[in-house]
Amino acid sequence: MSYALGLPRGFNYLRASSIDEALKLLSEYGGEAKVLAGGMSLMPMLKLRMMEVKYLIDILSLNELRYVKIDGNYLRIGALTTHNDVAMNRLVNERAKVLSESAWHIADVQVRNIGTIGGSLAHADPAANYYPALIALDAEVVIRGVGTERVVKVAEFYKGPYTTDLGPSELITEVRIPVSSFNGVYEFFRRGGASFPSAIVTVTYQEKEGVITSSRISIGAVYPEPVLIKDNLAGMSTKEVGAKAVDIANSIFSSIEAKPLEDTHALGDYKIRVARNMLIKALANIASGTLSKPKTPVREVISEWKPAEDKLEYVGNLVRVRVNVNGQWIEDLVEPRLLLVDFLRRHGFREVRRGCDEGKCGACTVLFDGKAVKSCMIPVARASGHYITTIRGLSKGVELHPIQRAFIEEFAMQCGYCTHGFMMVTYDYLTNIDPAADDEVLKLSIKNICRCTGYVNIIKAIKRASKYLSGANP
Amino acid sequence: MSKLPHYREGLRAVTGSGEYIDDIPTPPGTLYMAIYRSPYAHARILKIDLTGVLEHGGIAYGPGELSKVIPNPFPLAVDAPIKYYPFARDKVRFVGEPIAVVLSDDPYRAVDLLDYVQVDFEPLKPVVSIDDALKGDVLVHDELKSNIAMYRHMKFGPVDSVFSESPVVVKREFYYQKHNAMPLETYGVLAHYVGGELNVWANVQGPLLIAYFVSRALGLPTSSLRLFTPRDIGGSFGSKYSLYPYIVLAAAASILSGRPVKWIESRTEHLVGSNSGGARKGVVEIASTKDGIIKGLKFRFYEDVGAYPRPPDPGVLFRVHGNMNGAYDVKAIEVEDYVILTNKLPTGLNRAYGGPPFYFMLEVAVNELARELGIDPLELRIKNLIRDFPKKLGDEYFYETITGGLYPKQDYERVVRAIEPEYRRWLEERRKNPNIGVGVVVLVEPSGTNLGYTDLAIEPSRRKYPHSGAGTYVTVSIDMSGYIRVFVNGTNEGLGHETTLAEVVAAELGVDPSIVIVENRVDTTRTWALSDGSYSSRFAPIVISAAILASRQLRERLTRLAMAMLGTDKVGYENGQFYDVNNPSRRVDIRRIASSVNWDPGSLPEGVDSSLSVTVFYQPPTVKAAEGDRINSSATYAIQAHLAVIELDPDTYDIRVRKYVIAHDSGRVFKREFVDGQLMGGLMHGLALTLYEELMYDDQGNPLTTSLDIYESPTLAEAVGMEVEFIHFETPAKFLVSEAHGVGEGAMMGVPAAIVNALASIIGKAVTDLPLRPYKIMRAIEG
Repeated sequence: MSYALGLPRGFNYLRASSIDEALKLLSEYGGEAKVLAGGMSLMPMLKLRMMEVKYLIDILSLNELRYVKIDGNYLRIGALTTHNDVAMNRLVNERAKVLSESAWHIADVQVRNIGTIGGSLAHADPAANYYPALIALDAEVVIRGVGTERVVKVAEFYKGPYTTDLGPSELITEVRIPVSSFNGVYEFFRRGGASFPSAIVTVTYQEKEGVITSSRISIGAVYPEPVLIKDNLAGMSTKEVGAKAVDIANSIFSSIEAKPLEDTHALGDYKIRVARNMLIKALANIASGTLSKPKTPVREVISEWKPAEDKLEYVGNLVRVRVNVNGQWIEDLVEPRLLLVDFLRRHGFREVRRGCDEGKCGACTVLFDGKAVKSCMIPVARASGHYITTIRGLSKGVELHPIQRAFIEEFAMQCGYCTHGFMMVTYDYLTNIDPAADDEVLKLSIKNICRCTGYVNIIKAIKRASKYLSGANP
Repeated sequence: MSKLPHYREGLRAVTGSGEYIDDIPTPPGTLYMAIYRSPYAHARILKIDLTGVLEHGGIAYGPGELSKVIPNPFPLAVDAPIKYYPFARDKVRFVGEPIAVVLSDDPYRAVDLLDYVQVDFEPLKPVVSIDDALKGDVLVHDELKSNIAMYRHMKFGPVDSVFSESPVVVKREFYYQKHNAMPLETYGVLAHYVGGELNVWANVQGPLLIAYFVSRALGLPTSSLRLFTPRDIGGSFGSKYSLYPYIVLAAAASILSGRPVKWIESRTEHLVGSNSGGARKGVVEIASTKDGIIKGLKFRFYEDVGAYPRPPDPGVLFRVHGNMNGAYDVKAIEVEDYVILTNKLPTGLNRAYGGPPFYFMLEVAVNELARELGIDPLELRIKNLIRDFPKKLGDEYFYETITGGLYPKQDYERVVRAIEPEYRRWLEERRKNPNIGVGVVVLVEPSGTNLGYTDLAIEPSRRKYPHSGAGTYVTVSIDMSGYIRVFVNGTNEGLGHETTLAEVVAAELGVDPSIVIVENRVDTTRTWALSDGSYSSRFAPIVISAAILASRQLRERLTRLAMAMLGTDKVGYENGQFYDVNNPSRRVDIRRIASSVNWDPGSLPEGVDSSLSVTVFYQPPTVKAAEGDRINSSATYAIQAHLAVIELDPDTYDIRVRKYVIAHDSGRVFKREFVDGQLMGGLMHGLALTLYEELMYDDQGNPLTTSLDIYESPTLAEAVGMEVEFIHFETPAKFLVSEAHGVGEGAMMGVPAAIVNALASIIGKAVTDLPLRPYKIMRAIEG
């Protein structure tokens, strides 16, 4: 038996440069292939050797699948739109706030930078953040096969834990949400450092003159599949919903027959109780009109994935990669499964460190085309043709970058093993997410692990760096 | 631009230039090792077939080959017929126990090769819980004839009369979970046996007993073992002490293959197969007067050490032996200790070794006494504090505990009262918001371990030799250019030792720290002591003391050399320069003296010791071997008080820390930022174990905690918004040269009880089963 994990079994790596090429490769390799979108769920499974694939078909550079737009009666989101874009995009925030909120709660900056909405839906984790929000929003997915296109309601797309309606040679291309005047509340509980929530409750509703005309309550992470309750609030005034919140919640949960999920931290009866309490709170908020949540930053532009310039060249079982690290191109012939973290370390970038097998701790964080990613979650083949930056690419010779200075001034390290990853994610966070380092946004964004400092000084260093980067003198 | 603070390790961290075990260059021909581990908690090994590995181009060694080069089991601290080898011989005793190793020239392929190891097992019923073990119908070690590796029953003072005469006796039962302080860097070893010498690089915590264990198991003389650590270690918290079985496996693989062998542990392996603190069941009884004066304490502990009583365990029970009365004047103590074997990962050092389970149980029980008597918990504690320190040793005064501990004189009440204003403020706040909870803890923090406490595992009549290891070597030298060089056979896990030593030595010699070069790493080719290393918060009380003594001796030599060079019998010293007191314009500086000693020693007068290198061995004066069952288990002890303010979320039953205050008197403080760092880190480790972290097993002994996600380690997000305040007192501990107590562990020792007590103030009862998962709190509230 092996507990020596964190390194995937061998696979072949293929890149699709168009949707049609991706569909063609999928139909050619069928059951032996897996689509690699962001890979934020797939890569950990491969690294933990929970699964094995013969071919990975990388679709990340299909920029035609990255958009958010209103078209017809739908808010349309391209399947490769990243979680960070779903979280921060202005249109999503205006038209589907609960979806934006659900995205803000996904993992951390690094995962949200690369993980995609389509990938998350295809993976269908029973505790995934998007499902309850999308089901409450009555969203649909657009699915393409070779010469086919079909549309399925998200509620019907999910077939059970890790199973969906998606065929082996199909791709999700779009998620679309009917444009309507749904208000909504998204309640979410995750504990401590756990990646997945214990319970999610989403309530959306339409009202006319204080009376609810239609409603959708969706409960996620509690049962093997998300539960949807339609229109049970219809006809009530919002005030009435508040007054009857406990009864409404009790009757919903007593009518659900599914057996709750259980994990080592949250037993079934506990999950149900928490979901019930969250629903009561959500209904009370609807009654009191307190729907607003902490202000999170918003942006217009959708990030693109720089398409690689070179074609992949295989030499036997090895693939030729060319990666720009801190301004210098490095070429090597590697196994397709070689992870970026190991490539960087083998080539002398030892500041990049490994702390876990699952892509959680963040010690291996580097900038990938300017955005923070965990380099243990990326096969180096995927990085070929791209630009990687470590701290040595940020500092100028012996002169420290303001983030380095802030970390040392606040004594924000002890053993130093996590420091590089923290500085790299801090750079991306302060540059691209939240220059002001607001507590609420910070909490949702930086979740690297440090075992020595108790984080207190790291938080101070991030805030100090925020001041430096916004012009304060060191 | 402002000047950067002097922080050497910090500068390495921000520039990414630290050197950790995986950064050590590998010699040509290095093989990467992967370990085949048991999938069963308890099973007989019927057959091992390694031919598949060889057919796929790898190398593999099973128990047969390994036994040839690992002839001896490790020495144990208990008196029991148990044999602990670094691999399973005939029977596996925990999931993750090594059985065979495979080797390849590529780390990815080494892991692939594990698929070709074939082992046939006959599964046996596992012993999983302490209760299972006590039933004894299934045995982890047949030779032992029970699952109790040690039982000790010790009484100090008039326990029976105190308990029969006291009007109040409070009794509580507790469970403390198995957990691992878990450094972010996993274990790593690079072993190279060549030319009759075993060269080992490993991220261990010191040469310590590790060098002894490794050489014993391999049957090699200590003279042929060269053990090194890299300059930086990515955290340890005691965990990496338990690296020695893996050093032996990698060394065996190198001996057998004739090649250098490298092994880097995976995170999953670390959670399943490295080390942990033990689970403990405990019963605490307190005898008291009606107005809350504590008269006696009874402890019964069942310590689950997993599949083998791996040294230094069961030291976890005795590390606090000298301070079992906590901060209170209690002269009657009874303790019953059971060391329990189960089919789980063996235990070992873990930050605050022995302190967190002990103080969790004592300080919750004390709080329960206060609640039962209706006395304010802070006032009850203050009433019982030690006030008289009558025992005189040298020029200093101590309180001698009934179990043999020596607490140096401090003003306990002043330190404890320091948290009172904030305590009262939050009690007011609690009146307005019933979901706010307030909890206090008072403890003494032991530091500077007396290795002799492990002898308590053996009945006094059966002990062969006395032990009192605690001391350390430090070398301070001056090179030809006048740079001061400090060498300590210790390790850098991030405690800022290099920076602190540079500042301390510079201050003693009156020079700028920038000319002091510090090397703090293990190198057994240089002078080292059995007790050298980084553990038990011994740096401030012991290592700094040695460094100061060495600096003073060196300065004395410099003075004599200066007198000779200046031809005077009276010199003064300022800013690195000696001058003739009778003619102050005649001067010689350290650099000049060093230069003369190196370039022209022939010019120095006869009879003057011109060696510019001083090595000192410092043993703290309070550390002696056990007398019967009484021992001063630590070099020193310091008072500490905690205040935890929590808020309970009534919807999710989760706890958030609003404010945490620690007041302490740690003696002289050398670098405030580092002391604060230790308190903050220990506080978070305490919160992690109190709220989140547990190594869980199912009823077949399968580990459930195999990833960080399941371990639920707090991330930065959990610390945002938590307010932390430290109140420092600095009474010099004059019986130590450094005048300083250790500070690395007290915070972690106090947190569990502080949080449990704070929760009890909200829900009206103490939840005594850690960790405090929300579903447990829900059940405690809802019944």
